[in-house]
Order: sequence, then structure tokens, then C-alpha cells
Amino acid sequence: MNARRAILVGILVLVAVGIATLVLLERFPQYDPRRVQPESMKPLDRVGAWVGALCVIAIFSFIYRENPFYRTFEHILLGVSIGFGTALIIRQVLYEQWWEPMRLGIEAIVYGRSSPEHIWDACLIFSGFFGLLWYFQYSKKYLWLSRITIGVTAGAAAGLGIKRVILQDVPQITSTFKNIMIHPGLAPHLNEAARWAASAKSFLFLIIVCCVLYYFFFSFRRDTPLAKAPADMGRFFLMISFGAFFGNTFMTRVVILIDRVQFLLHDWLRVIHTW
Amino acid sequence: MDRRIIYLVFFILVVIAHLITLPTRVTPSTVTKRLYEMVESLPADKAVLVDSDWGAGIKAESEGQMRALLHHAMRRGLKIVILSWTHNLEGQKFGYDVTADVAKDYGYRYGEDWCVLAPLTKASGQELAGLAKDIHGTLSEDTNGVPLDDAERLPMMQHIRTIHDIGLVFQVAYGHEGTAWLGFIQGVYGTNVATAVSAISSSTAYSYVESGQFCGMLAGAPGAAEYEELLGLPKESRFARKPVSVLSLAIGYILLMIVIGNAAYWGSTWGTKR
Repeated sequence: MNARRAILVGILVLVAVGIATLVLLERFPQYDPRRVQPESMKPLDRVGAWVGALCVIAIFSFIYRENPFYRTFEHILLGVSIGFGTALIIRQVLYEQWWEPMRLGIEAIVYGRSSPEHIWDACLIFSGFFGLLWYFQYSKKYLWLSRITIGVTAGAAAGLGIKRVILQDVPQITSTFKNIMIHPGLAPHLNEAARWAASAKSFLFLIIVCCVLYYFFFSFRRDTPLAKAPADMGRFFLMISFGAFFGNTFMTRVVILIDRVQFLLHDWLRVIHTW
Repeated sequence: MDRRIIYLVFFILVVIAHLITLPTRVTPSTVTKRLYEMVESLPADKAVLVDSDWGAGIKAESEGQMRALLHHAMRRGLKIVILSWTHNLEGQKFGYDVTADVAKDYGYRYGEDWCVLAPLTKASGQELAGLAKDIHGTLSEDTNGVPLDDAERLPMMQHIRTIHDIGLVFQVAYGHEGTAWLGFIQGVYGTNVATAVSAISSSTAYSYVESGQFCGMLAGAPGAAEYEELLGLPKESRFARKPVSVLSLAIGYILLMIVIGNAAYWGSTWGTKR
């Protein structure tokens, strides 16, 4: 599709949507925005809704086929994201968390009203220099300087990572140690049927964990049916979990679509005003 | 068949589902019930820290989840602290707007009953370790630039200084960012941590609920609808109800397409095999 045709399609879509809006408002006068929510008819809200709707339609136009209308808005999105991210880092991190405390700290020291906190803040200047060493990556001669920063950063990240793994993942392992037979002493609040059900659940859990782990155990050949069966079962259980993953993935995608349709119908067209 | 026809029918179905009222029956799951019971059992002097790490991309699921929990916390009269991140200012804005909106229903006042902290910068979990020991030292002000030590404008924060003043950390995010809370907060201090993730990420989060590390979870929009059901919210306050009812119709359509697609495939290969 060439650019002129894409523009024409875009205009036609907008005209169609405009006509549909008029028809719907005619059909459902009770949903006329001037009657439903007069206080929310701020001009900028409406402009925002129109811009948003245009973006949604542009992105959705990809479903029809790749086209310049979609491509334009994709580039706008990328540009806005990168610009926003850069501004965010400069304003929220570099300025607020580094430059301002450091400036105030140095000022306090210069004017002789320093406290331990001010001295600490002034020391941020060193962290700035230290961070700038990263940029020696672009110099062959002074590349070694950047390695100092990388080494310290990697060391700190590794230390924190180990702590996190121990505190986060070890409980995952210990939680697999389950009682297979739940006797009355373990769960006095459960009746016999519930205890049997809990025992069956623990047993099933154990079987699945063992089979899945066995599937990833490649130290010997699985020639006999007895050696193959647990691995096959493990694969079977994995397939079930992948199915659950896929189902959940689909659900999130559909909910996102529902949200955009709600935006179009509620915020833009105002065909619905509540759910 | 051209796949675009399938998409078009799907889109039309979703639009129609918004214009009509579909019967919806929501049955709360165990993980949702666990979270509900946890909030119900929180002492009145403990605050709820809501980690608002979501944005426009996942608004469809996260907004309903956050609203549902806020309704419960405010109904119980608990203080609410909203935490956001420098890498995700959308979370700060959405967190502020959603909390302000729900607060109107319960007469909650900013600074006295709820507040939004200045955004925190991620640093491999080190920031959470600092926050746990000294909230006022790690984040010196709220989102409006008011110092946390200002007793006049932020009286609630005078009683919330360390993680021990927090009864529940509730993390709202697309994925598994909440696990940092497990490593640096739940694992160290034993603080209750719950998560609200998108359905796509819930599959892997279940193992953390099963192990007892997350005290509960809201899985996607259905999780939010389940929580609203447990709260018995009036129809107009049920934010997740409509998406879930539309979702049922959409899933039904996809199941039908899967059946038709497979039947067509088997039909086309039947003669070849024979």
C-alpha cells in the first residue's frame, strides 16, 4: 500500500467513525456527553481522548496490514518513549538525587555551616566522577578506567544477587518438602476426607516435581521403558503448564484489547458511561 | 478464511459485549481469599504500602486490582502509603489518581490517611533494604515535595518510619518485580507481601504463593473481580466486573475458533491420510 492510499484509508476510517458516533448518539440520546457528565467536559480531556483514539486506531490498523499510518505512530511512540525516559532520568535521578544534594552540600561547606549530612551529600561529587568513568568505554587508550566502575558495579550486583537468591529461592526449595500423609496431628482442623484430599495433593505435587526434574536429568541413557516413563510424564506435566501459560497470556492480551475498546467507547465516543 | 475476518468478528463481539449486560458469576479463588483474609486481619495501627509499578500498557488489569485492594484497606480505616519508581512515573500518576478517586468514597484525606511518596530509584534491591530501615531517610519527601518529617502536612508519616510500621506490602505490576520484595523485605523482616500481577505473569507467581512467600495474589482482571466479589462492592464501584464479563465472551469465541480450526484441519488431512 502506498502512502497516498494509506492516508485515504485513514481518512475514510475517521469519517466512518465520525458517522458511527453521530448515529450512536442519535440512537442513544441518554448517552450524550453534554447530558451525562457535563462537569467532565474539559476541553483538554476531549483533545486527549481524540489524540488517544487516533493513536489506538493507527496501531490497530496493523491488523489490516502493514501501512504508513501505523508506521508513523509506531515511530512517534518510540520517539516519545525515548524522549520521556531521557527527560525522566535527567530530572528525577541526575538533578534531584545527585546534582541538588551535592550542590547544597558543597554550598554548606563553603559557607561554613556544614553538618555530617552536608559532608556526605558533598561526597556525591565522587560518585559522579566514578560514574563518568563508564564513558571511557569509548576510548581504547583509557578503557581500563571504565573497568574499575564495571568491576565495582558487578561486584555489588553479585553480592546483592546472592542475598536475593538465598532469601527468595531457597524457600521455594524448602516448600517442596511436604508431608505426603496428613494425619490428624498435623491438621486437626480438617476432617478425614479433607485430610485424604490434602494427602493426595501433596503426593501429586511430589510426583510432578520429581518427574519434571527427571526430564532435565541427562546423565544416563533412557533405554528401558522404566527409565523413559518418568521423563515422558515430566514432559506431559510441562505441556500442561505451558498450556496454562498460554491461556494466561491470551487472557492478558484480550483484557488489554477490552481496555482499549472501553477507552474508545467510554472516553472517546461516550457511548457507554459506566460499567 | 482470511484471518482478518476472525479479528473483525472478535472486535465486533467485544464492542457488542460492552453495550449489553452479560450475566457474570465470579467465584473467588484461594489466592484471592488469602489476600482478603490477610487485609482483614491487619492490625489497625499498621499501614498498607502499595507499590504502584504499573502503567498504561497494563492499566486494563492493574487499575482494577489496585482499586479493589484500596477499597478494602480504606473500608478498614488503614493508612495507605503509595510507593512509585523513577523508572516508571506512570505508576506514580496512576497510583495517585486511583487512590484519590477511591479516597473520595471513604472521606480519606491526603497526608492524614494516605500519601504518595517521592519516586524511588531502583538499585538491585539495595533501595528496599534502605527503605525497610529508614523510610524518611531513604525518601525524604512525598510526591509534592513536602518533607516526610513535616508533621503538619503529613501527620500520618510521623508514625510510619520503618518496615515494622507496615502491615502489608501490596505490589501492583505487570510481572515479577514483586520478587525483590520477597528477597529484601519478606525474607529478612517477615513482612506480609502480596502481589497483583497480570494474568500472563501469574503462572509463575503461583509458586511463591504456594510457598507462603506471597501472602496472597490477584491474578489479572479476574483476580480483581474476585476481590470485588469478596468485598461485596456495589455495582457502580466494581471496576473489573465488565472486563471480566467481556472476557468470558471473548474466550468463548476463541474456543469456538480453536474447535472450528482443528476440525477444518482434520477434515482437510483426512482424505490425504487414507
